[in-house]
Amino acid sequence: MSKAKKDKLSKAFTIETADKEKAHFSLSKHLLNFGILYLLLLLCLITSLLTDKFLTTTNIINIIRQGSTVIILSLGMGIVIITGGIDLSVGALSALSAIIVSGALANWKFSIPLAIGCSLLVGLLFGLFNGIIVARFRISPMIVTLASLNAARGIALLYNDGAQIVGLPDAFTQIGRGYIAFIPVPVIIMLVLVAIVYFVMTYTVFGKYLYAIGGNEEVARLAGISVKKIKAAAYSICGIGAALVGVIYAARLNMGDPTMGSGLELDAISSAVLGGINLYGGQGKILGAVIGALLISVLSNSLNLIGISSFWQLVVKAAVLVGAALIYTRKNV
Amino acid sequence: MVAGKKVETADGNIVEMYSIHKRFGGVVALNGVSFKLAKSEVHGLIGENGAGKTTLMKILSGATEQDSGNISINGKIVKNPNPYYLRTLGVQIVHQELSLLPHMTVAENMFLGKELRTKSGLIDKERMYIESKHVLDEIEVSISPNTMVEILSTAQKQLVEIAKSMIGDLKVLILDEPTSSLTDKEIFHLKKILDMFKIKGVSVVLISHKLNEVKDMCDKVTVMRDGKVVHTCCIDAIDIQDMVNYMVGRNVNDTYVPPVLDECSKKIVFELKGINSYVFGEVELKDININVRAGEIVGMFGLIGSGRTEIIKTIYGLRRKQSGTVIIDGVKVKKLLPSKIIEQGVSWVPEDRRKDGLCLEMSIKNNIGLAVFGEISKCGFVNMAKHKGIVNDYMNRLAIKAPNSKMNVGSLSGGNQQKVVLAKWLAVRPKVLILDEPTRGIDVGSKAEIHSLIRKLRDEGMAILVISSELPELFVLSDRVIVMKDGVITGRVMRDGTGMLTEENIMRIATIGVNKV
Repeated sequence: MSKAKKDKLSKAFTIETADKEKAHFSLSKHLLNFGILYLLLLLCLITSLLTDKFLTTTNIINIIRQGSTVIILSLGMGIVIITGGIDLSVGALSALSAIIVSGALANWKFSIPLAIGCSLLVGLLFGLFNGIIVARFRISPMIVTLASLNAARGIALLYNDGAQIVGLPDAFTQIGRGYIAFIPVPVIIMLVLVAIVYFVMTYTVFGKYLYAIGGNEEVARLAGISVKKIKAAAYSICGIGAALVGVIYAARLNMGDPTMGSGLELDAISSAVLGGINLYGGQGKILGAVIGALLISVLSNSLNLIGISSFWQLVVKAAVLVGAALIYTRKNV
Repeated sequence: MVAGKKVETADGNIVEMYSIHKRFGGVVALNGVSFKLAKSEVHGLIGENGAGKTTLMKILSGATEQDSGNISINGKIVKNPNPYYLRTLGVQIVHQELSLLPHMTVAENMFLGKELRTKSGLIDKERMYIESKHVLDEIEVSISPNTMVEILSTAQKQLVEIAKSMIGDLKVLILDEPTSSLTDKEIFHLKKILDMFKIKGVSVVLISHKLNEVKDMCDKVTVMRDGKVVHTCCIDAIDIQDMVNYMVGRNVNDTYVPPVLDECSKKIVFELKGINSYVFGEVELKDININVRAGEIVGMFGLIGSGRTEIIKTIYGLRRKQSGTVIIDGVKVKKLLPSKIIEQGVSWVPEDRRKDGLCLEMSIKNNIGLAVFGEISKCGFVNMAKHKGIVNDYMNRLAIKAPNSKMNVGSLSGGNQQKVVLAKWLAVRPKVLILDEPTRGIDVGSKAEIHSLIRKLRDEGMAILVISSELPELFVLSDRVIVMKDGVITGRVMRDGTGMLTEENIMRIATIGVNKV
């Protein structure tokens, strides 16, 4: 392309985008895109008016620390949902991972990095298994990951006959309990992962292909995208995320508990849906899922501080989820 | 492509296909077809549904493989064809069902699978923007590459598909029914694009059912019937009637027939009075007044975005209505709900049969029965005998061609699918039949059949409203035509007496919006 032409085009580029932004800004659309963020801020505002215990450094850090595990899960879950799939196995997988890392440390006397490596590898293998079965044999991800859920939970219970594994080294528990400066380690891990996933989803071809597959698998296939590999990769990432969450839990609780993490997958799915990721795939932003997860954790913290019983908290969470789903349905109309 | 490898054939053909055979199970789809495409040629490929046009082009684009026969592109025999490989040879296909991803931008769609990357391997958004903008400019499409595909109209999507095919080395472009959803203005635009391709040396295969457009746009035409090429010639050597006769293998007669019922026996059964409907972001309907009498066909014409489909949506309560009434057979409909409207005797055959009209995975039988199951069941149990009776009755009356009624609707041809949708809505024995694009993407033979069926229903005393963007269809069907523009009825054109029913007249009213009193 000649230079003059390039100049002309880049000029056209700037003019056009400026026009476009101006023409396409609409309040209702803006609210639908950022509504979840505003809802989060509104919730913070109301709670801080109702109780002065909310807006303290300790409490805020506490919220983010508690939320960081669900946020990590929601990253992987978000990726899988964007491809049009779902992963029900993450909760059980994190329990299995907690057991493996605890067993490796307490029983087999592995070094800490090796123990963590083992549990992440198991997460990866489970994810890979899910992905390959879903992509290669075209079985519903709901079924495949339901099977994985049972398998992972079963193995976790079998390992120590359903009992917890205790006696983990202090250096290891720092992963769940420690601080760097004043920031808890799990929060740092979470922030790094959010940054990486955001980058991958926005700037890499892999990220685009995830959306393309969720949008229309056939179109993606005809465009020469290897749908099977990308799908397998998506489930693998989700599996590694779940395993990492298991490691963090084991470190925080100073034990491996085979019954932990039941229902975590539902929190992760809720976060993704709250954040505007379309359950049919192809649409939604990964940061939305992060904010969705944060909203869930702020919500339970607020309700706790105000003194609403945990039974009512479930009902409130349900109402928020349905409300968000209703709003996003309107968005798609 | 390396220049040294190119071998121009003596007669300058870019594509040569020799005695292609293809079977699907027991069905012979292609029986020894040979097809040649010269450089810079626009070649029309016509034939009824099931004639094998699409199969032939699928083979050329690598989506399916032939059982026997050879393809050579640029003088080189193609071995182990697959879509990806043929694309690298410069063969691109724009499918009938548009294949863009709605939640991605135009530029992202255009570069799907061949993204431009920066040196560090990341997506180079800016370069993709500039290059796609360049291509869009080249075909004079004023869509910003950053636009999300979901907000584009069907016509714009079509143009983006063509632009998408131009990314890379385009030598042969296959367009499968590109004009079925375009208006005349957009078709003119398409013609300009094809002219530009001709200058650039790109060859085009145009599959179409609209013969006047084939006549208008193509240099050569090939007619297929029953898996064979029955005729190939220069476009000047053939007229439209001959094309039809070659396609069908018999003479087809599809002309306007005046209604048999006389004026006084026609009472108004369908009436809209002063409908106003405003929904944010959609066409606003202003003061819509329409009446349809028993035993007449009223045509409704308007370009995309004129509000024709929105009227129907409003009647069905799928869109909010601020004021106005719907009167069916003299009774005012109190609450606009699909179930109430159907109960009152209105049937609507929607525009997009695959999306709104049929459950493709279900059998013919169950699709036809879908709207009458309530009527023919007791305590939730369907009366099998009645169901079977209805299904057989309509399959015979509409001449639905299928081995049996248990077949999946998805495996039928377009014409037969449309007949199944019609059968479903006729089974409720409506007083008013609303047909939205009743023959979109259907071959001439089936089209004429469906048209004569519509006329027959009219003469049995049904009130029929036909919405169509194909003027020839409105001419052969309608007793009068309503023209819409921007949500307003801008004209009513009568057939008899005034003699105003001409193509120019309707287009003028639809585009300029002269309000004829």
